[in-house]
Amino acid sequence: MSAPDITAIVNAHREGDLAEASLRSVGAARAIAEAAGARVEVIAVLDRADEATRALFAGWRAFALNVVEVDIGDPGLARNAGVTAARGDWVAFLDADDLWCETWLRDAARMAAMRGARTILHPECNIYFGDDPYIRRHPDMDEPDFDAVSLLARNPWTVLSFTARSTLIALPFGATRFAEGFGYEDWAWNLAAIRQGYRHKVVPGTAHAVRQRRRSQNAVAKASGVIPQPVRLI
Amino acid sequence: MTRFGADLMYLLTKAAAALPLVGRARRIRLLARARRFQILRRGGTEATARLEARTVASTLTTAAACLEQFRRLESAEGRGDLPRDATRLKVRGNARLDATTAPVAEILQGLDTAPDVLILGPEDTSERARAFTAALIGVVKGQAPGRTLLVIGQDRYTLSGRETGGPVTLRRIDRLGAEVARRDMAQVFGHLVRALVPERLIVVESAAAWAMIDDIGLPLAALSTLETALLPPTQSERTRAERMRAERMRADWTEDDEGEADQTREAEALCLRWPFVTRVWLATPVGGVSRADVDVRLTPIPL
Repeated sequence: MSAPDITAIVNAHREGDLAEASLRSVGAARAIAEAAGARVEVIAVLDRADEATRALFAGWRAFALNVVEVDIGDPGLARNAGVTAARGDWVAFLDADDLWCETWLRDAARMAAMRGARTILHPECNIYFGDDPYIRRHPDMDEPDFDAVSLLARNPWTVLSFTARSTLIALPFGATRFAEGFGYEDWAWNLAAIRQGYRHKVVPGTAHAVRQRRRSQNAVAKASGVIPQPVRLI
Repeated sequence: MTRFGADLMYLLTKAAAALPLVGRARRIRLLARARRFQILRRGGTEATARLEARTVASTLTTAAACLEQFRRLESAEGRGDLPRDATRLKVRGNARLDATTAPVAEILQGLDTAPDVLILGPEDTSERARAFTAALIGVVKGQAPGRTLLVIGQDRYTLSGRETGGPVTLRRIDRLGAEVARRDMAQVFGHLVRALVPERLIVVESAAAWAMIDDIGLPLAALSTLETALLPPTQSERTRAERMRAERMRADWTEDDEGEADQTREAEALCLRWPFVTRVWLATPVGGVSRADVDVRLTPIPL
């Protein structure tokens, strides 16, 4: 069986039945990408999942799903475990309570084919839903007024990117180290990628829906006053 | 367009966009126009304003179309957590420089390589402070020959290369206003440290720097060493410091022989409050107060 072009990695913990809509968004995106000629495999990484989450993934029949159970307790390291299991040239991440638009994989793959492996792709915007819904647009590093120094103050991109697997192997995600004062593994990874010459770009016409939770990793990090691992910018 | 015109058009287009019977496509056009007027009323150029308007239009159009898909996915399970209308949501997110990152960008732009040693916070508004800064730089250069230094503070540095034993890079961060500057300075210093990741970080403690240094909050593992050098404050600085830190500090600053004991207690308190400080120096003025006479003795405090 030929290797897939794209590996969709769904990271799950304790989402329970919230993951069902996420998996259906993966299925919709996968179908459109395969209709355009791409081969897509789907891996679910369950990190210390509860019974409800485990049962939902075990019972999933809509499309083939490779379930990888790990006992890590860290979102960044759990993503690395997914990358290890992946066979596709490109990797797309989704958290198991978030949603992809249906054209995400197809359109990101097209842009990736044009731009090459030194590019990290993000949707044009995210719709954050929950207590305080809003839209966050993602900047493109080729915009005229983009300045990487601004990333010292805020992280404009989530970790739900479309990235070459080779990039993720060369630049794995770091661990969250709250006790030492470090968090935001996605922010730190974005900075480290820029330091190594990768460019973050957006795929026009695409969006993710991101669920806000009071006890999300980001909310805990904010309350803890941690910072991302420092990265020398020069 | 005049400022008044931009203000008026912004308010009118925002109000029109908020009307309940306006269709989605029209609302997007109105919000994009409102964004253009918002940029113009803030003094932006027409080119920037139009670019921002196109960006808002694109973002809202994409969000609205994708939201319909997301709502179909959720409704299949009987859920209704998603918003109904993307055009009623605020649009956030621009990675642009602000008051805390613009000074950092300016400093980084002028650097070829990251410095080995970063000294934050020294002032040179008085002869005493100038002598202290020169003495501190001299000691650091003596301890670490060949290493590059970068000194960053709020004030303009007029120390000559001869005084500093050059070459030393001295930079000033423009003061924005007393209270704002103090709050922003902490973040600016924090951003600088994270961007440069120096081998040694020396933070100069003076009465004026208390609040900003407390705000940096850098975790231990971010730095290989963190040292602080203490310069006793002048009477006016002491008064301000006492007002600012009355609840935390009990030491009664003096400049006679008892001053050194107070400074030692201050250093010990500092290390207790900041466990990641690895070395503390006390700075004691020596000699007169004129530019030609003043010197500063730097004494390491054993921890």
